[in-house]
Amino acid sequence: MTQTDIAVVGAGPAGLGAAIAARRQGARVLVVDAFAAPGGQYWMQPASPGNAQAREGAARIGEARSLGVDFLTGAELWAAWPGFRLGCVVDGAGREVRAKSLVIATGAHDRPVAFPGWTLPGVMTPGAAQRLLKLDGTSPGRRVVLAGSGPFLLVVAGQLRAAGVEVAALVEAARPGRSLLRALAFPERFPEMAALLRGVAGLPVRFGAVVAAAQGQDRVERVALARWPGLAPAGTVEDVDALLVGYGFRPQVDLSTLLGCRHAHDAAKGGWHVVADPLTGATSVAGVFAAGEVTGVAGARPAWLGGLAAGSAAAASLGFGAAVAPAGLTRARRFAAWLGAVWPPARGLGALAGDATILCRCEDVTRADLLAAVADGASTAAAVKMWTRCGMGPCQGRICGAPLADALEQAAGLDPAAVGRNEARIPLRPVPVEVVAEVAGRLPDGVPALSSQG
Amino acid sequence: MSGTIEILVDGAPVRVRPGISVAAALLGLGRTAWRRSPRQDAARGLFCGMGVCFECLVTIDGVPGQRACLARIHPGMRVETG
Repeated sequence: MTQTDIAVVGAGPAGLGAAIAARRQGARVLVVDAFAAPGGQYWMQPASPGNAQAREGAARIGEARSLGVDFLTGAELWAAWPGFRLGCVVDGAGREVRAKSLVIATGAHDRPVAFPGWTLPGVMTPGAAQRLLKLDGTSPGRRVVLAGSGPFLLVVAGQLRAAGVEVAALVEAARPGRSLLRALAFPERFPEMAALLRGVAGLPVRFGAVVAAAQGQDRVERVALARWPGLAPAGTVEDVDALLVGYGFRPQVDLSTLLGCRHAHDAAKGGWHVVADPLTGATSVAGVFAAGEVTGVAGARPAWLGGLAAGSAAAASLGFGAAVAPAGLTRARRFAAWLGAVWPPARGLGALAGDATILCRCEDVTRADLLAAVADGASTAAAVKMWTRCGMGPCQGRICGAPLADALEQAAGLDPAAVGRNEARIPLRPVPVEVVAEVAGRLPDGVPALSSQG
Repeated sequence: MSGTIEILVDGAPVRVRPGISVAAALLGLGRTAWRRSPRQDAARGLFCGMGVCFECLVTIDGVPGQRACLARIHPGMRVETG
């Protein structure tokens, strides 16, 4: 068992910002992260010498360590109880963390969309490709198609090319219009934008198009494109061995859900996200703060600055120093809003799925299964789960949540906010039964180790 | 083959780079699918690559249900696919 003042969950830009700010004010801080090294997806480590972004992350991690921030890495969070107690698994063994205050900085993951063939091997998320390239020096394929929407596709396209991978097509649902000109209002971001554009110069880019289907025998071999919106056929890309599809990001809200924080749905912020005070990161639960993508997808810079703000406020709430608002946060958020205007969230993606298309990968639940449940009266994520098992598998709705909401919106006209979401339960991730038994013996009377099912 | 280590994939000895993920090792061996889905028995492989989706499960050193994207290779590791 480890006792600390503030436990920060997530070691990306938001978590590191929170940890550094809170530690500077004198609080004891422990950062918990599932991956082997701190940095998150944006500041992924180890940093190669030529990668300025990763080097910036290495500097922040170094700063946190030199201030005396503690790290618990390779620690997968499977439970959170009031008080606050966090249940982690490290190398298969249980580890409990107790803290007076929490900062949730769990980030986001690629927003999945269900289309025919999306379960074929070789179809992955751009985030998966980035981890393979950066951590493993392994390419997702030799000739790939990148598709979906958002600036992250440009980032990954540049990284794939730098690794010698042929990008056969970059398929972007949005059609950037006059809103692009508003980039002129952010001269401080010009070097970043120029580097991004250099990385993709000369690439075959299709705007206003989507992947309608991935085809192949036991792996992706061919990609069928369609115009967006409308889905008029727009040709195929042949001889493909990987298809990377991501329509932006979804906040990782399972921990904040377990803790009972208030959430809201906004497609422009990646869907369901934690409602947090914009200046302090305070959530609706006393002692629980949140920062970064989990409070609504906005990018790394608002995450870092929002992390500083939340860490400072969390420390101040425990009597360590006074809350400090970091400079530049409002401007960083304005830049994020501009990105959102250039790449607005694609709506109506439920039209991509056919009746036989799988929505829930864990349990092989198809759109036809969903429509049968809707015909029987199911109209919420919770009801659909009971009817079809969609969301009952190990992903706990993290992957199928968005495709399910898309399908319900398209087939039954239901608003994603009204559909709700698959509520996270303990254990958040599969956990050895010995670990559960060990913790159960230490919890106060009346606090169950596992969530009741239903 | 200096700089590589030996592991067993489905009982067969293979050499891979040390420290990479099991998923990267399998991809490097030309494998893209290493699991069957529960109802349709369809081929599945790596999807999210960051521990979220549980599509890439393998058995490692006798322990089932390990995510190939998170697990790192070590010498003598026994990987069994589905």
